[in-house]
Amino acid sequence: MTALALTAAELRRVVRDRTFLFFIVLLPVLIILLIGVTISGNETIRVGVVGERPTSLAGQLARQLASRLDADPSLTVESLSSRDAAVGALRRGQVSAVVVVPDDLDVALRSGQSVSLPG
Amino acid sequence: MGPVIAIALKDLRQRLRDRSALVLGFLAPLLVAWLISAAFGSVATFHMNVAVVDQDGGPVASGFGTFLHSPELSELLTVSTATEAQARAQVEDGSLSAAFVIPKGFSSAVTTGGSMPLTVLGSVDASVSAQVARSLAGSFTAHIEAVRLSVATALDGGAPQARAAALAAAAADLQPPESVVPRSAGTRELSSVSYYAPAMGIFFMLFAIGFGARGYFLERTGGTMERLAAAPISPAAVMVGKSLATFVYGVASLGTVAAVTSLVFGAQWGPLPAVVALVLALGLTLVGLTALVIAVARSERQAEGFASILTFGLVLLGGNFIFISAAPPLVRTLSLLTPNGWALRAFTDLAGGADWTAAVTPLLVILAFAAVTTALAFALLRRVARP
Repeated sequence: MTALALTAAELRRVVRDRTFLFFIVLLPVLIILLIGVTISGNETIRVGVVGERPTSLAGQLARQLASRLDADPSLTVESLSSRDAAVGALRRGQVSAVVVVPDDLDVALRSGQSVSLPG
Repeated sequence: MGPVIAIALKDLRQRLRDRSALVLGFLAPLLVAWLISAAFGSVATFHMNVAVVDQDGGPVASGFGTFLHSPELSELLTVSTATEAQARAQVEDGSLSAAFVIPKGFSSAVTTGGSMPLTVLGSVDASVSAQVARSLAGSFTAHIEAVRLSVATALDGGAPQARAAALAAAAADLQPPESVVPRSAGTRELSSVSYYAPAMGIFFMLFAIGFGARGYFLERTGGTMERLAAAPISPAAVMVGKSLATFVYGVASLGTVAAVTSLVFGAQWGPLPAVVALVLALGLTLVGLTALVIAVARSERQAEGFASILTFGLVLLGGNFIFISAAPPLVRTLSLLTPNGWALRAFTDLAGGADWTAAVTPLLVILAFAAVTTALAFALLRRVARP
């Protein structure tokens, strides 16, 4: 009985110690969550998509290209707002590559011309 | 100025006598940064060993081999041939990243309008390699489909059946209407050590909060603070002296990590003036956070607890434990609530080839954080100063 009373007293002391609780309960859970959500994203290839100009992704074929990339299960596609944002994302390793959709994609493809996508 | 320097030097001497402060401030960050970089260093260059299992032996299968040996893929792939059993075994044991099995009758199925699957063997342990292999196979089969569609359209439009083979050969030589052209973005590849050196340096630098706060309460209980208060020195000079010691310890810790990892491990920290400015700003943040812990805590034990929770909270949120750029957008946004998150962003940008201007916004945010925490601490310290 003495041992049980000591255990109960010790447990009460531990539960009252918020720092101890943080380190034995909250911190491991937070670390597991953080590493989990980060590593789960590593199973796909992170790719950015940006229009050469703000209007470049307005065309039907350009939108189709972006949505096809988005639908590819092997890719995690991030829409980027500008070329500067794209360079920043590449620099930080946020994306492995960026597909720059040219401004004349729809017009060129519909007129039978070839289009180069800088990537 | 004399008493301030004397108090700072006394605190620094005490801290340098403490072996745990030396280990945590100087040795541990170097060791952990080196260990993490050694563990992830090989990920920097992506290369795949693939095998082709050609059970077909026809022209389309040979075309697939030519496609895999093309100059565009030479840096990505090392291609070999194998039997299906060998390929399965080697993919299983990891010596092959992936393998392509071209079944018997594949070429004739393609040329007669039929279909037959091209199988990609991949390992669950190398999911990205398997996905890249699948994309390569998909790209080749998409090209075949395009050729078949072109020939069918031409035949439907009146071209003689006898010209089908010639038409197919001509269509196969055409480039697809959309092609991806690799273009440099003017960035430098971010190595593991260039990320984890500042990440670990900042993490261990933050332990100075605990040392500073604990030291303050030890001096209070030991009676040193009362003696200092009785001496002809203003309370502000005492606080500035103690803050200076924390600042110097923090800057020396991160500065040493920057110098050693640059010179020994080849870490890229960026232009020196920008790095110095960021390290000094982080040193000021350290002072603000230490003062805040002193202001909030009532005992040495409480100060130690608050400092530990604050340190681990900041590094968890700021992304020092993980490669923050690979985290989901929400986690990346949350990291910018912390000064260490902003510092890591600046160091990553600088390591990635950005010029010093990339450090300006992070520097201003870190300084603002230092100013706010210091102001808040001094407002709260008035209460603490009351006996």
